[in-house]
Parts: sequence; structure tokens; C-alpha cells
Amino acid sequence: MLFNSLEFAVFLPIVFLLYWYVFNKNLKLQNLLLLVSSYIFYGWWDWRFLTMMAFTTLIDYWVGIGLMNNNNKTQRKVLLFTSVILNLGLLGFFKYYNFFIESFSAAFTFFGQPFNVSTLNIVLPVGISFYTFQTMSYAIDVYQEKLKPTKDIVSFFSFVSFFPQLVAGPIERASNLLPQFYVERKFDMQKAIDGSRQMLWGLFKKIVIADNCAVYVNDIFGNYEAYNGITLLIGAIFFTIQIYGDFSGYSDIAIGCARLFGFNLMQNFAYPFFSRDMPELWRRWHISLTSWFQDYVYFPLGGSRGSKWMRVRNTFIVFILSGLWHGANFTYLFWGFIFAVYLLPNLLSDKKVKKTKVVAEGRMFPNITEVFQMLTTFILVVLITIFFRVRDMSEGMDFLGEIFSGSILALPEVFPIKMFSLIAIMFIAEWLQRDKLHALEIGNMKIPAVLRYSIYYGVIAIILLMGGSQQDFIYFQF
Amino acid sequence: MQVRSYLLKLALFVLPLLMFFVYLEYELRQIPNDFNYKSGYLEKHADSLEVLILGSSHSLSFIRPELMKSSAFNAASLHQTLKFDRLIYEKFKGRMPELKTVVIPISYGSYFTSLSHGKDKWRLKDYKLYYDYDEVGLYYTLNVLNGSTPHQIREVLSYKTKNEHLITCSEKGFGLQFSRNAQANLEKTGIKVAKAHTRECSDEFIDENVTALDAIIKSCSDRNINVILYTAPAWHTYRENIDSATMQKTYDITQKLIKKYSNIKYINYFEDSRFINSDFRDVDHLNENGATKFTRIFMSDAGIE
Repeated sequence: MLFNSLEFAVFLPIVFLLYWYVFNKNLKLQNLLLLVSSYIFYGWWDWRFLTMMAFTTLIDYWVGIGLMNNNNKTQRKVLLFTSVILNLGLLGFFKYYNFFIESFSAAFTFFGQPFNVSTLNIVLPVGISFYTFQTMSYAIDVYQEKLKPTKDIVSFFSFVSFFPQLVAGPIERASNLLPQFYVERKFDMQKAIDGSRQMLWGLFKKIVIADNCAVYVNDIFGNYEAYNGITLLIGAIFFTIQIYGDFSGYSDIAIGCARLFGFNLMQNFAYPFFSRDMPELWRRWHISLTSWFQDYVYFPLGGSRGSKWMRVRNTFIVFILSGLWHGANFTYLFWGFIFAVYLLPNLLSDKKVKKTKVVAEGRMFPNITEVFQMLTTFILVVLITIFFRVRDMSEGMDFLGEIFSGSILALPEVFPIKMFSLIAIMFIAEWLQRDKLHALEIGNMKIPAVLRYSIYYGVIAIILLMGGSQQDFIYFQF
Repeated sequence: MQVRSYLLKLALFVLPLLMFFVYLEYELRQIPNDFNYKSGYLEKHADSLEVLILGSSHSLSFIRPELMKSSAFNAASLHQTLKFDRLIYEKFKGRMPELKTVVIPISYGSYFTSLSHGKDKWRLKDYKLYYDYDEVGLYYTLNVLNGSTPHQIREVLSYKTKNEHLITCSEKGFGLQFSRNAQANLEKTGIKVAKAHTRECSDEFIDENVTALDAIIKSCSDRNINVILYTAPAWHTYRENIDSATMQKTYDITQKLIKKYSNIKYINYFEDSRFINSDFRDVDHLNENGATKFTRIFMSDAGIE
């Protein structure tokens, strides 16, 4: 079920009313309702994959119980490996089987030993990378005794399948989300209203920004041979903004929706395009995945504790894995690799200034240096994001080659003023609200109610009048 | 208590939006359009109809019934697939005692596309609303849910202020407005259009389309009605960039049907050099003059007066 669909517009009020009016007296029933609703939500795409999600959840539930009842180090390790191997095994089969088979075949052929293999027609279950990482983190946290395992099977199943964030995150940690299923939820009017605002802003980013960008992106990337360099650059910029609108829009809807049910999810995007350098960008972009890799890969590898070269090695491992997480294609691996390269100057530098505060804090406008830093970071992101969209490396290189050719100085063949204006509206709103959780967090501001409602209706009017045609969320494919 | 107060606030907030959409739907239904015109024409004139032209834009903007002496009507629509040709034929077949010929274009994607899948799914509402298509639910009875809101608002405003309706075809159903659009760059857009059409093709729709076409032909055969199938002319940049295997499969399927039934005539104009640059509106459609030229050639080849 898509958030921007009529089905969801019917589904959400029904679950909301049942949750607060029918099942509100009993926490277990409330959790059971969330569980059933989440399975309906997921099954709307393809009910056959429900059994796989249930199987993964059950394994980690048992592993949790097993770890609770076992003090033997070896046996605990076996239990953890069972979880990791099963989770990664399923993920690997559905996501990477064909990629590895084809790559092996290509390697054998390259060395003069033609090796014919048959690939399988595998359908990738929606959101598998998200819920697999979420449930796996539970087993790891329990193994490391950072989290007490749960015996409450309904809560655990609800935690893994919680519909607002099930298919595209944020990838929640059990330590944050699971305990929220144990305690009674009280309806908080302010939280629900702000959640509704956040959902509205998410819909704006998805329907107005991402779906409109998609039209130009599909055309430019689909016919890149026919366009000059400057047009391809515009296509790459639109695609970068499309991903942002699409994914951060989804996250806003997910977080806002969870708040309607009394849950707090972690922030997944914190205005990444206002970052002044790459490390800051990665603290602001897909925060839940970055922190997952940090906690479960980077730190266990030694993090930044060792030598400079250890830091470099660990960073490369994390980013290449992150690329692979996105998809089974060399383009994603390359994308991850280049991001690690982007981080090199910072890794090798002895002077470390961690930019944790928002840019131009306390000021309306950034200074020249900050503008330069933000633009440089943005352009670097745009150039590598091309590899997120192209079909293979050679297409990516052709695309990039045309951008760096003389035709970059030609007149653009596609220059939609309307699209640029809509993007400007989004960036202005986010710039003004960059110290808040989302751009429509205006409930506590001292502005007249008339103006506040005008803003809401204005956003709705833009969605209705300028929204693009419905597109799937990009991150569903991951 | 807080939940109730939240819901009340939300309801008050949403109410003006709901009222707006109800009003928009009402106004959209007042505007005459191609679908209610064509379905209305068939309701009125089915009993005297001799030539029924079905199909997609490849007949909508190719065949001008006005040039025929016989009583003919072009019931084609943009993206209309064989399944919906069948729907229209089945709906009126019992009411067309004079029908002698059914004309259907067989194009590159005819056997490989489905209106129920892909970006043109919203068009199902027109078949639901005007041809009683019953395979889709309530969602497809509402215009507001199946179209771009800004576009629909503009349509309502134009109708209310300038009385501009949405009928774009001639009295006999020929796609006038479609064929009058400015000519596209035939050399440059060939690859793009061919690639886009290829992307839409899938073998999974062959059954749906062949079953529909087979049913029309069989019914026509039982009633001694001729079926003329044709492949419309296309510009060379389009022809050279489509998937040749898919095109060959199209010919093979058509040949199988020709062997199966004796009431079919198939004419292939795909590479016909009589159609020159000035006849084309875009790489796979003719303009108004091109359509006049095509209709005359077609009538002579098909033996239609």
C-alpha cells in the first residue's frame, strides 16, 4: 500500500479509529491491531512475502529467547550466527543471487573460461533490506547485552512489521522502538497535530517535488544520448532532488503517521543539502542506515580508534557495504566507493572540525564560505548520484563524460522554470526551518492562526494543483 | 476526549477540500467529451452502421469515416487496446444488423500492452463510465481520482467561461484535434518514441489481446462480417528503432489468425513509401492531410465504399 494512495487514505482512518476507540483499553489488543494492520499493509503488495517476514521475525524472536536463557559463550555465538546467517542469507538470495552468479560468469569468461549459468527470475520482496536490518540489530543488541530480550511475541512482531516504517524505514533500533510497545500509549493532541503536519510536508516533497522531477529524470536518463552536457547535469540535479523528496518525504510521512499512534521514530533526514562537507552530509542523510552501519560494522571493525589507515579501511568497508545494501549492481558499489573517496581528505586530515550545528545558526543567511561549501558538497553528491540511476557503469561513464565535455557550456535543452520554482519553495521552507524536525513545524511559532491555516491550505493547493503523476517510492526497490 | 477533539479539528479542516472535490466531480460530468459523444452516437446510430472502426490512435487519426459512402463510424480512442475494442463491439453487436465491416489496426504494441497496467490505467474510468466496463471497482467511477486535478480544474473553467467542451473528434469519430497538432521532429524523436513503446511491451499481455481479437473475429465470422486488419504507416526513424523481434511476433500472431478465419483481410502499410514527411504528424501518426490520403488508399485496398 502506498502512502500516497486512496487505499491508504481509507486504511489509516480505520486503523486510527479502531486503535483509539475500540482497542484503547487493552495494550495487548492495541499491539495486536497494529500487527494485523501492518500485515494487511504489507500484504497489499504481495501476500506471499508475509510468510517470509513472519519467518525472519520468528527466528530473531527465538534467538532473543535463546540468548536470554543461555550463558554459554559458544552457544550464544551460535545463536547470533544463526540469526545473522539466516537474515543475510535470505537477503542475499533475494537481492544478490543473480548479481553474484552473473559476476562469476563474467569473471570466468574474462579469463578465457566461458561459464554459462542460468539466473533465476526472483521477485525482490518490498522493504526486505529495511526489516532485515531492523530485526538483525535486535539479535545483535541482545547478544551484546545492550538490550533485554522480549518474551512478548506480539510486541516483537509488531516492532518488526510496524507499518509506518516497514517498507522504507527509518530503520529503527529495537532499543528505541520496542520498549514503546510495552507501555500504555496516551493520545497526545499536540503530537498528533504535529504528526499530521509532518505527513503533509512529506506528501508535498513526494508528490510535488519527487513525482514532478521524475518526469524530467525519466526522459533525460532514458534518452541521455540525445542530450547535451548541461541538460544531463540538470537531469542529475533533478534526480538527486527526486531521491531526496521521495525518500525524506516517505520518512516524514512515516514519522508523522507513527506519532498519530503515540510512537516516536528517529529522525532520518536533517536537511542534508545544507551540509558544508561530506561527513556532515552523512550525519544528515539516511541517518538510520548510517548509524546502523556505524554501530554494527564501523565500530566493531575498530572505528576511528586505530591508525589513520585503519580509519580509511573501515570507512571504505562501510561505504562499499552501504552501496551493496542499496542494490546488486556495480553502479551501487562504485557509488559507495566514491563516497568513501570523498571522505578521504577529512579522514587524512589531522584537524577535525565536526560540524554538528546547523549552518548559519542564529543568522538568516549563510556567509560566502558556507554557500561555497554547501554548493561544492551538493555538486559532488549530484555527480555520484548519477550512478544510482544508470543501468550500468558504462552508461554512467558516458553520462558523466558528456557532462564534462564542451557541451556543458551549451544552452540547456530542458529547463523547466516551474520545476525549479517548486524546488526553490521546498528549499526556502526547509532553510527557514532548518533547526526544526520538519519544515511545517509551525505549531509553536507565534503567528496568527489565519496565517498558519493559509500555509496548510497553500501546501495542499500546491499538491493538488502541481502534483506529479503517482510514482512508486524509489527506496521500495531496496 | 482529546482524540475526539483532534478528529473534529481534522474533519473541519478537511471538509472544504471534500466539498471542493464533490463539486469538481459534478462539474466534470457536465462537460461533453469524446467518450460520451462516441458512446451516445453508437446508441443512436448502431442500427444503420455498416463500417465500425475500432482501435487506438492508429485508427483514430488515420481513418476518416466522412470520406466513406457507407455509414461508418470511428469508435477508436487513444491507447484503446484490443480488449476494449471487444468491449465496444460486444456492447453494440446485437444492435448493428447492417454491419458489414469491422476495421482494427494491428500496431507494434497491439498484442503486448494492456490498459489495465501502466501509466494509462486511469483511462479505465472512461470505459467504466460510458461503456459499462465492469472489471474495475468504484475507484474508476470518479473522474477526480483518475486524472490530474490542475488539468481538471482548467477543463471546468474553460467549459464554464468559454463553453469549451472536450469533444475533439469529428461528427463520425475521426480524431480531428489529435491529427492537427504541430508536426514533431521526425528525425530526432524516432528513437525516443520507439524506445518508449518498446518499454511498454510485455509478452504477459499477449493472451489478453489475442483472446479479445479472436473473439471479435469469431463473432464477425458467425455473422458474415468482414474484418479488416491493417498496420499503419510509420516513419523510418521509428521503424528502425523498435524491437524487430516483437514486430515479427506481431506479424506471426496476425498470420495465425488469418489462417484460422476466412473473413479476415490484412493490409500492411508499415513501410509504405507513399506516405512522405508531409503526411506525418509524428513518427507513428499521420496529420489531417495524411489521414485523408491514407483513408482513400485504405478504402480502395479494403474494398470499402
